[in-house]
Amino acid sequence: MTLLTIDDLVVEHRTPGRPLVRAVAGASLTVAAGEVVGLVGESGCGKSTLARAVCGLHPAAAGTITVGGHPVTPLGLRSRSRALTGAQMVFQDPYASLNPRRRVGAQIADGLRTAGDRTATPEDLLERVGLPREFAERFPHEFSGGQRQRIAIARALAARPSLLIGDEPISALDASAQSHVARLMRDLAVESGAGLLFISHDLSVVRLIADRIAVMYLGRIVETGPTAEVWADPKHPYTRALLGAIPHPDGRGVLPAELPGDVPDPADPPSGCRFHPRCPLVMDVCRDREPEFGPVACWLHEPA
Amino acid sequence: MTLTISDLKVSIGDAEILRGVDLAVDSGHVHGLAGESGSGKTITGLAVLGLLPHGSRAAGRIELEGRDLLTMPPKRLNAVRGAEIAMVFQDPATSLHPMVTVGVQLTEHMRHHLGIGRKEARERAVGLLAKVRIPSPEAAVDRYPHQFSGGMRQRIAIAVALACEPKVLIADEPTTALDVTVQAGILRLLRGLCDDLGLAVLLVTHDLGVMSAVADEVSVMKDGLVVETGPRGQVLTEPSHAYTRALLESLPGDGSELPQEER
Repeated sequence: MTLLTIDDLVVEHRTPGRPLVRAVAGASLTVAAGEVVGLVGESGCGKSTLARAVCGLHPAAAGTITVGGHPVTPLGLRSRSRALTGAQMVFQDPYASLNPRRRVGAQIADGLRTAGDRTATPEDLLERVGLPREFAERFPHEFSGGQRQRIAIARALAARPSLLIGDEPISALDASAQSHVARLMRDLAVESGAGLLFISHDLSVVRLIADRIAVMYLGRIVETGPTAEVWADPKHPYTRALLGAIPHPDGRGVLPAELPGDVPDPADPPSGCRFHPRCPLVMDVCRDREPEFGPVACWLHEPA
Repeated sequence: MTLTISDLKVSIGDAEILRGVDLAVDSGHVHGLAGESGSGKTITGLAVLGLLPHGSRAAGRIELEGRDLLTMPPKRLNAVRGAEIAMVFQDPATSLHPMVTVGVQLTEHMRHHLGIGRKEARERAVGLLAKVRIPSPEAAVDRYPHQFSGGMRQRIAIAVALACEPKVLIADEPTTALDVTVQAGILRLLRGLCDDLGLAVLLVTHDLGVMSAVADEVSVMKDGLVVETGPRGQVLTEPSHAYTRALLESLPGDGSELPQEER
């Protein structure tokens, strides 16, 4: 069952005196219940904007987002319908996403109230994320980054989400805590039957936890597929470059391949295929026409 | 050996952070220092620079070309630090001053350590930016750090470190905050600088992939001790210490197959 459907989504950032930036420029993606989708791409490719749009934190300029069949509306002053509180987000920086002046238990209780849950307690949720029950009485500053992110996960889970979104939830954490927190998110989401959209620039962690992988470049999804397949046989030249840049601990001293050039300015994207100025396999057609098909948006892999 | 650390012990309060570290880095070599957080990698790097936290006590020897840095008087250490030994930190967003232009950050310590004039320092700064492959270096010296991407900022931080032609470069997780594609560029740059300038590089990283790509020798730390040291190929393919093996096995594989059983 498809839980989240993003269809041809466009999200624009407007800044006075600056050109309009299309951070997400026609992206389509689905997440099924119980499925873990990893969204990867370089910084500035629009993956966080996409996640925020799914939660209603950015309005869609065009295209649609539905969660459990309900269209997502921009977050306003009124409380959201129960259908939309089913999408819960775990943010990147647990030092900023928890209120420093409220006890951890009270913040988790907010989530419980959202879900109308009168049976579970904040202590139960702390236990689920592997923290002692008595932490509910403490304040966020008493915890390490990894512990705080667990608390943020507990708060998101308290609202009984059908869709959990992690926007770079591990990038602010210590290396040793990263894979623990990533696995915890996967286990908790799958256990409760929720879908998980996991956004990260760390490909090795995404590979570890995602069933399906979506690669984003300059506002568009350029390749999707089962994680193992994409890993074994990346089709899009960008996916290849991304995977080729990961150094392997084989002891052979091979320097990873460098992708020449920088990510272009999203306010002024190149004509045709967005990747063509950096693509080693560029053809004439790539400069003129944008490949608007999937699962591999590349003229070399045009479906017959 | 350019830099030799022998039996280095550091304690803060009652906690023993380093319990006798031995390490040697030669010029033209990258020595990788691996281990999980809390194993003492960063403290080892900071000890070399004499930047240990307040209230910490250090014993042992840290020799730079025969001179012991631990017993060196502060004034002389100041002349060494930043000039002969330089450091690149993890996060270029916080290691560069946000309100000072790149040019000033590049020339301030050059003028102090080398005693050169404003104009000459500026010329050298432009040259350094070109060396770390910043596009249009003449214009870049007058810009502020926020006008550059994360990868470019880290290149600038490396240029700052190289300004006084150091003999030793300590890089503490220099690519952890960057995208893999950008990381590849920085690793190539570090390796090239090490080879061209004959730098002795101490590379602190938890990423064994990064280690494998650029390091000549690898040391693995655990609980304040170096548990294994050796040539890259040996340590990463035939580790002799159980902890190194555990560290290698905890990785998500070599990229060829998906570790399904770990899920």
